[in-house]
Amino acid sequence: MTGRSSIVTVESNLDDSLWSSSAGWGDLNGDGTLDLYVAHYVNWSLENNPPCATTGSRPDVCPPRRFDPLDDVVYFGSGEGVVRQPDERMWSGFWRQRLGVLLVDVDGDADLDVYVANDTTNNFFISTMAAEGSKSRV
Amino acid sequence: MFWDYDRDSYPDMLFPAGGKLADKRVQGLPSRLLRGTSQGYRDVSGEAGIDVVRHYSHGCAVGDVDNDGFPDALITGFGGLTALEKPG
Repeated sequence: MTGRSSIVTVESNLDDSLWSSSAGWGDLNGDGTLDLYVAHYVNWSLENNPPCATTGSRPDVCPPRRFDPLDDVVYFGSGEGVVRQPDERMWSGFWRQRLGVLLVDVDGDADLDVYVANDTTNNFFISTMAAEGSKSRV
Repeated sequence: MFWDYDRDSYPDMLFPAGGKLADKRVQGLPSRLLRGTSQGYRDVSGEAGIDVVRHYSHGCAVGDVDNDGFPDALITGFGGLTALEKPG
């Protein structure tokens, strides 16, 4: 199908087999192109599904804190698509079980920040300083 | 999620459909894309290829990733990401 009215699923370079709960688009590094922040949940899988039970001893999926959180991933835009950031460690280490992410200028300094809602733990806020290429977490 | 992927001023709707645990597998369910028109909504999931299950879906986000002036979408989920774009 072609034309202005169509949209299709496409193959992309977004190679991500983890549990991504949400994502946000925005210009995180201030270069004028759209970047992508993908928030991940935990490392649950059928192979990593230990037995847990409710208070009534009924078998159930274990609570989120039973599993290890996963790093988030940032893809930086080229203007025609997005590519994974070479140094992914820049955005790692914020160990939480992410549910939702918003890219918005929270602190009013005219660049985009990252606000992440976490499951069972405190939310976090990443204040970016695009001009300096750095960030800090609050 | 509401968006206007064809920029015709009629809001379109995207529904990531989640999934289920069955037969010891994580199974996704087919998502839905409804195109807004002057006569109401039309299901264009098949035309968009979004009715093909790729993964258990969770959220979605809109951005013009290819910078062509038309908003694209990304569906997140367990085991993959699905991108929706206007054909070149």
